[in-house]
Formats: sequence, C-alpha cells, structure tokens
Amino acid sequence: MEFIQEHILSLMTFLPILGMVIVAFIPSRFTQAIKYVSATFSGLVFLLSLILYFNFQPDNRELQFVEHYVWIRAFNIEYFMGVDGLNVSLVLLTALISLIACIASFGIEKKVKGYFAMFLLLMTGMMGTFVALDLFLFYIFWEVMLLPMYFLIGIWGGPRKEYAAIKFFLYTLFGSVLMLIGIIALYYNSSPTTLVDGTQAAHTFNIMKLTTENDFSNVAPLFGISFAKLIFILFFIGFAIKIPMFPFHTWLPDAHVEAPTPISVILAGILLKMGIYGILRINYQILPEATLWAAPAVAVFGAINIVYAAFVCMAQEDLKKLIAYSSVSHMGFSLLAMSSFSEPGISGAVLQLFTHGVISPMLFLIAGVIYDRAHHREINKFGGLAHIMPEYSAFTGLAFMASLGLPGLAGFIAEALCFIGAFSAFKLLTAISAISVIITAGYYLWTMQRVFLGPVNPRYEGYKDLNLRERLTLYPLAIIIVVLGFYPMIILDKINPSIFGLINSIKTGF
Amino acid sequence: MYEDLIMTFSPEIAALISGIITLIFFSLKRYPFEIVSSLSIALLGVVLLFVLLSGESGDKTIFGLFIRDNFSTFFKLIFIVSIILTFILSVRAREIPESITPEYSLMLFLFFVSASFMVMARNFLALYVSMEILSLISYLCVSFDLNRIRSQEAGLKYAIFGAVASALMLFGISYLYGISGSLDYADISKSLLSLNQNNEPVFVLTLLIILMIFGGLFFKLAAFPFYAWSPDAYQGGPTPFVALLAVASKSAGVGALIRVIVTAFPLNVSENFGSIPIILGIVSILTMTLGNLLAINQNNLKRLLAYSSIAHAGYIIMALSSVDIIGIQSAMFYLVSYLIMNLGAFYCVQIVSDRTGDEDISNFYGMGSRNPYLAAIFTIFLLSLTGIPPFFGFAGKFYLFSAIISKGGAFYYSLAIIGVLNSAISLYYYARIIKAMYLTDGSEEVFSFDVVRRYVIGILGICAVLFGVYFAPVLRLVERFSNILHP
Repeated sequence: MEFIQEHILSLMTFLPILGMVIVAFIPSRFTQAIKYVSATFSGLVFLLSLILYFNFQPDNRELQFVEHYVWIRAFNIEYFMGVDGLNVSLVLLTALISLIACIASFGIEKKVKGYFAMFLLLMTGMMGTFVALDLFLFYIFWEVMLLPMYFLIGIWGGPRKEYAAIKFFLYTLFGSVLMLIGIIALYYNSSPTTLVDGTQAAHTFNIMKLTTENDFSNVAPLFGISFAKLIFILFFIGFAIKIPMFPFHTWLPDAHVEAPTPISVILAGILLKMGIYGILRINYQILPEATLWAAPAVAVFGAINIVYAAFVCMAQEDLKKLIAYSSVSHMGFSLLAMSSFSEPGISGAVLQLFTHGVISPMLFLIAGVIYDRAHHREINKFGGLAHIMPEYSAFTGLAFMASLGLPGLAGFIAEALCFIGAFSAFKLLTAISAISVIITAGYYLWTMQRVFLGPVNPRYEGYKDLNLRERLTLYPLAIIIVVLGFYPMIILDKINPSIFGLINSIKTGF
Repeated sequence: MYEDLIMTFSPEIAALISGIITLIFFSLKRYPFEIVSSLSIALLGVVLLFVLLSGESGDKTIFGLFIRDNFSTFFKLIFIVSIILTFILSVRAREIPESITPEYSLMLFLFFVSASFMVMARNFLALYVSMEILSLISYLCVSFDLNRIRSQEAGLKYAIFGAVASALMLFGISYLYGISGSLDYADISKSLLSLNQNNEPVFVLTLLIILMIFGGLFFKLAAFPFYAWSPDAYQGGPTPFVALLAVASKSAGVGALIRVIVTAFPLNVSENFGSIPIILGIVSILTMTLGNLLAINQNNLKRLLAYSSIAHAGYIIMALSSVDIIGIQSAMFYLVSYLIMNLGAFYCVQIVSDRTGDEDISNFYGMGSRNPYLAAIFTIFLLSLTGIPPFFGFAGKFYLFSAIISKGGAFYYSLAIIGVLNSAISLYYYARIIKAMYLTDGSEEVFSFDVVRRYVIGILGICAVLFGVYFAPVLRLVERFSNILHP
C-alpha cells in the first residue's frame, strides 16, 4: 500500500505499457482475452486515479504525490512528476475517459491486438503529459501520443483515414517542434540550481524551478521582440494547434470524422485539454509577463473560436463533424476565460476542461451508437428516432442540453464561470461570445428536431435501443454530468487553491 | 621510431594485411560469401582490438602528417561497426555477385584504412590523398555490379562529381600553401592569424580558400553544393555498400571537417573573418531543405534514403556552425544515432529488395501484416530518423538543436527554427513508408527472411529505443572522445 502511495503517478503512467506488453504476448485469435486485459488495466488506472483524487489535499498548495529522480545527469534531465490543483482533475478525467473509451472499444473487430496495444500506449502518453513536471519528460510524453494516434486513426478509421491521420500527425508535429526550441531556449537561459539529489546544475528543465527561480526578462531580445515573448509564442503555437485554436483547427474535424468512436472520445475528452493545460502550466507559470502581454490577443482568438465554430456548426450535415466543431467552440470558452486572470475565469477555464471532457465524449459515443446502426451520420436523413430508440433519445437530449449549457447540468456552471470571469476584463468580447450561446442552442435543438422528432423514417424501424456496452459507457457519463451540474464543488474545491495561487503569481509578475 | 609508427598505425596496418589475406585466400579457392564475410568480421574484430590498444599509448603525431588521438579513435570505432554491419548485410545480397567477393572484402578493408587516415590527417596533403583513396574505393564499389547499367552510370556520375570537388579542393589547398607556406593545420592556423585581416584582398582570398576546401569535404558529406551525386549513386550502387557510404563515408567527412574547423581555421580566425559559422549555417539550410523537399516524392526507397541522408548531413553541419565544443559533441553523438538508425533502415530496405528485385515503395504494402516484426522495427528506424521521442534519433536531434540554441542570437535561432521545421517536413516522407506498411493493403503472402538479419535489425532496433530512453552512456562516450588535440 505504501508503495502504491509513493509511486502512484508512475504506476498510473506505466501500467498501460505493462498491459501493452501482455497484450503483445496474447495470440491474436484470443480477441476477448485481449479486450479484457486492456479493460482491466484501464480499470486499474482509474482506480488509482480515484485514490489519488480523494487523497489529494486541496488546501495544500504544494505539489503532491511527487516522484523526483535524476534521469540524465549530463543534461540535468530529471524524472519529475507531481500533481497540484491544475492537473489533478485532468488526471482523473484521463483515467475515466480512457476506461470509458476502452469499454467502447469492445466493438472493434479488425486487428484487435494492434488496436489495444496502441490504445494502451496512447494512455501512457496522455497520463504522462499531465503529470510530468520536467520539460524534457513532458515533451517525450507529448510526442509519444502522436504515433498511436496516427495508427488508431489511420488503420481503424473511416474512408479518408489516411489523409486525416497524416494531417493530425503533421499539424501536431509542426507545433511541437517549435515547442522543442522553446524548451531548449528556456533551458539554456535558466539560472544555476541544484538537482533533486543535491548536485549542482548549470541549467534546468524543472518546470517548478523555472517558475520560481527564473525571470527571463533580462535575456537579450531576439528578432526585435523580448525573449520571453518569443518563447511564449513558440509554446503557444504548439499548444494552440492541440486545442485547437482558430486558424490551426482544420485538422480536428478531419481527425474526428475519420477516427473510430472510442478514439474520437479520447481526442475530444483528453487530447484537446492538453493545449489549455500546457498553456496554463508552461506559458502562464514560467512566462507571466509575456502572458499578460499576450492576453488580449489570446482572448480575441478565444472569441473567434467560440463564435466562428458555432456558426460552422449550424452548417454541418454530418453529426460527428457538428460535434467536432462544437468542441472547437467550447475550447474557446476556456481560452477567453483564462486570459482574464480573474479567479472565476481561470477556475471556469479549468472546470470547463473537465465538464467538456465528460460531455463531448458522451456526444461522440452517441454519434457512434447511431453510426453503428445506420452506417451513416447525415443529420437530414434521420427522423423520428425518439419513437424507435427512446432510451437513446433521452441520453442524446441530456448530452445536448449539457453541451448547450442548460442550468442544472455540468456545462452550465463552467460556462457561467467563464463568462463571469471574462466579463471583468473583456466586456465586448464576452458579450459577443455570450450571444453565440444562442447559436449553440440553435444548432443543437435543430439537430435534435431533425434526428429524433418528426415522422418516423421507415428505414430505421427495426433498430434496437442501447445495448449493454453502450449503456456501460453512457450511464456513468450521464450521472457525472448531472451530479456536477448540481455540485461542481467536487472539482472546484480541489482546483481552486492552486489556481488562486497561480493568478497571484501572474499578477505580481512572478 | 618504427615501433612508434607500428604501434600508432597498428589498426590500419592490421586492416591492410587482413584485406590482402582475404583477397589472396579467397582468390585461390572460391568460398561462399558467408565464409568470406565471417572471416572478414573476425579480422575486423582484431582491427578493433588494435584500435582500442593503440588508444592506450596516448596521442601521437607521425611524420607531422597524421595524428592519432581520442577523436580519431571515436571515428574508427564508427567505421568498424558500420563495416561489420555492411559485411553481414552483404551476405547473399542480390546486388553483390559472388564472383567479386574477394575484391569486395578487400575494398571494405581499404575503406577503413583510408577513412581512418582521413580523420587522422593534420596536413592538407595527407587529407587530400586519403580522401582521394576513399573516393576511388567508393566509385569502384558503387559500379561493382557489371550486369546493371544503372550501377555503371551511378559510378561514372559519382566519379565526375568527385573529380570536380577534389580538383576544387586541391586548388584551394595550393592557394593556402601560397599564403602560408605550409600544409600543416597548425602552421596554417598561425599564419592565417598573422595576416592583416583588414586587407580586403586577403579577406576575399581566405574566404575563397575556405569555400574551396569545404567544397571538397561537403562532397564527402553529400552536402550542398555537391549533393547531386548521391541519389544516383545510392540508387545504382549495391545496397550494402550504399549503407556504408551513407554512414561511414559521411562520418569520415564530418570528422575531417571538424578537425579542419578546429585546428586549421580555429575559432579566432573565423571570428576575425566572421565567415565560417555563416558559411556553415547557410550551407546547412540549403542542404537540409533541398534534401527534405526532394525526398518527398521519391518512390524508390534507396533514393528516398539518399535524399534524407542529404538532409541529415544538413542537420550535422547546422550544429557544427556553432563552432564550439557542444556543437562538435552533438555532431558526434548524432553520428552514433545516425549509424544505428540509418544502417537499420538500409537493412530493412535490403531485406525486402533482395526478394522483390527493386526498392519501390509498393513492395512494402501490407508489410504490417505480412511480417509484423520487420514492419515494427522499420517503423522504429523511420521515426527515429524523423526525430520523434522516445527514439535515439530524437536524442540526437535534441542535442544538435541544443548546440545551436545555447549560442543564442538571432542567427542561431533562425537556424534552429528552419532546422525543426525541416524535421517536421521529413515526417511526411518517412510516414509515407509507415503508411505503405500499415495503412495500404498489399498481398497477403507472409514475408520471411533469414535469421541473421532478423537478429541484427532486432539489436539495432533495441539500441534505437534503449538509447532514446537513456542516452547518458552515449553522452559519456562522446565527451570522452571529443577533445581534439591542438597541435
């Protein structure tokens, strides 16, 4: 038990790799065994994440569950993991959505072994990205996700899977190589410090040390702008591609439409959150002055995301594409709110990550349910499904309402906090963005009407309602959405103390 | 004196004798290539022993022409490892006729000798002569396959390019002799320092000399402007030798270039003229951009790897443009990773092309299910070449970019940004191969190959992953061998 307590983050990160090795040794024909082994490992990780989450002490602003060793001494690279308020909810979210996606993957029939091996590798990459606190380690995990994602979209995806997969890979890589320059530049401009074992180090990759012991305002400017601003831009582009922020968002609809349902779930539920998390963790913490400088621009981009993507949603015929664009729009809320530096703003931004992280997977699961039956997703070709599949329609209604921000459901609290926070700093932008909520309601209700209401389309008459696998994935998410809608403090209590600390440090410039 | 001489040159002497032994022994009676190559590998083991032993005796200068130091030992190790891997790959290779195996193995031993002399040279004439021998061997080996017209064409093109580059270099050396009265790196460095640098003709002349001498070395590296031979030579030449050309010949070029930059045109000279970092920087940008852009549309994998290896030369030159110890160490570190991943990639190409008769990308369709092992390991090499963690190539690229960024300043940052964007472009063509193996359906027929090659690529693949996750041992190795003795 003590071992688990001490190494919980490493366990959560590397258990899936162990699972991958085991899966690799199971002969391909035992597909059921492969599926259950993968589900077991995802379940274990989720269990550990629950232990972690409920043992996390929110009043304590210090990092918790820290694991800190020297990894490669010549470059002062450390193996440094830990959680604070910023990432604790995201760790829980990652474990939860991975488990749900793993259960949803039970429907996969093609090359099962390869699929689950890649899936487990992806889990390691995601978990590692959220808990790594050494820039080098962070970068490794960040990149480790790319390859499994490429294969998962490219092999198990839809008709244009190859195009979507390489587009995803190239976009993300373009962003992350710029980030690599930022990482190395921060390293060489950091002040001397000590490693965890007490040895002297001339430079450091340690995010916490870079935050507290370094001020990059004295570094000579480059290309006519200050060093910190340049590095801010390099990191920001890398993260903006992942969010995805307009104008870097074009990979997302392709990736979502072609990806198999569980991978869409992972993409929307976890991968998109990494962009915002990265900005908060690296740009906000390490480069506070540049953050203040860039905030208005970030807010404008956030507002563009919200409004532009909402309008694009109105025009979509494909259900999955609609949900994909609605994700772009919802990530805009976080971007807009976090550039206000107000307490409700950043709390809302982080809460939005969690709530969107449960709502959008549910939406994609819903799109998957109908695609499995009808083999198409064209909104206009459905009609009257509420009569044929009542349970399914109820879940869809819940998810749509949650996504459009109906009070009493999870999405509302986060969006309200976002707008309250953003309004204090950007009145006009917030007002424009708030109007887009009406558009959001518009496209969801219109979709609802076209798919579920109206006369029954005889083509779909024999369709069965939800099966056990689908229920197992939809019920937990629905319950979480309702519970969070009434009592968001489950998340907010854990994240707020750290976030207030972060805001103070930005406002005081350190 | 002679004892010293023999001790210092013992690896080269051993290699020369080994080459002659194999030539005579196997010319008398024909043996299958397995035996030729096993014996050669055993003899290379002896050479390796001499390399390590001669390292014990400390640094030595012989005739004022060659210097045996740790730095040269490092490159000799690279040569030996890549030649051993080439011998293994040459067994039953489609493009190497059984009839010429004795000559072929002699050539590989001579390759080692000339390449080691090249990195040991501390005199421009010695450098020129050893480079010429290395080039001659390369021309011959590329055109070894008498039955294929492509092979002949490749050898001829290679030789013409080589002749131009080496003539240019010789011209530069003669100018250098004219202004300094010596061919020794150290003397040249001194006389360059004593020149009046504000005198414009002197400045122009020195710049010209540097460009001409670099031209010859860039030919060996397959860098701009002398890169155009490599796609044809790679495509036409026998794959095992091409793999050696891509790794060892390039390493020899890098070794010689580093020694020239550090000892003949030392930093203070280049600062006075302000030119060497800029020349190297511009050349590296052109080299990697051209290499990467031209690689995008290649369907022949050997040709693709040729262009990609041009790009890799660009990355290395980029790091050397920092002209400091981190730059040198990172270039050496990168050569180690490049040895593993590039030879590995050539192995994979050879394994398939031996069966199918050519290197077209379509031969790899569906390899993911036809031979999952080969496909997985080839994928590792390709991702490593792209520079994606956690593979060795990433550690190498990380180090190269560190060397540039640690210098700071707008010039180096621009270089680094162009460099990383290039490495993102390179993903496109490497991923095309991965796509062919996993995403494109091909024949269902199971693909199998011999056990030796299976083990070798397995070991190389493990190295590519292991050193990617924990590269501290390689860092220590490079640090130990990177101090160039200033004569």
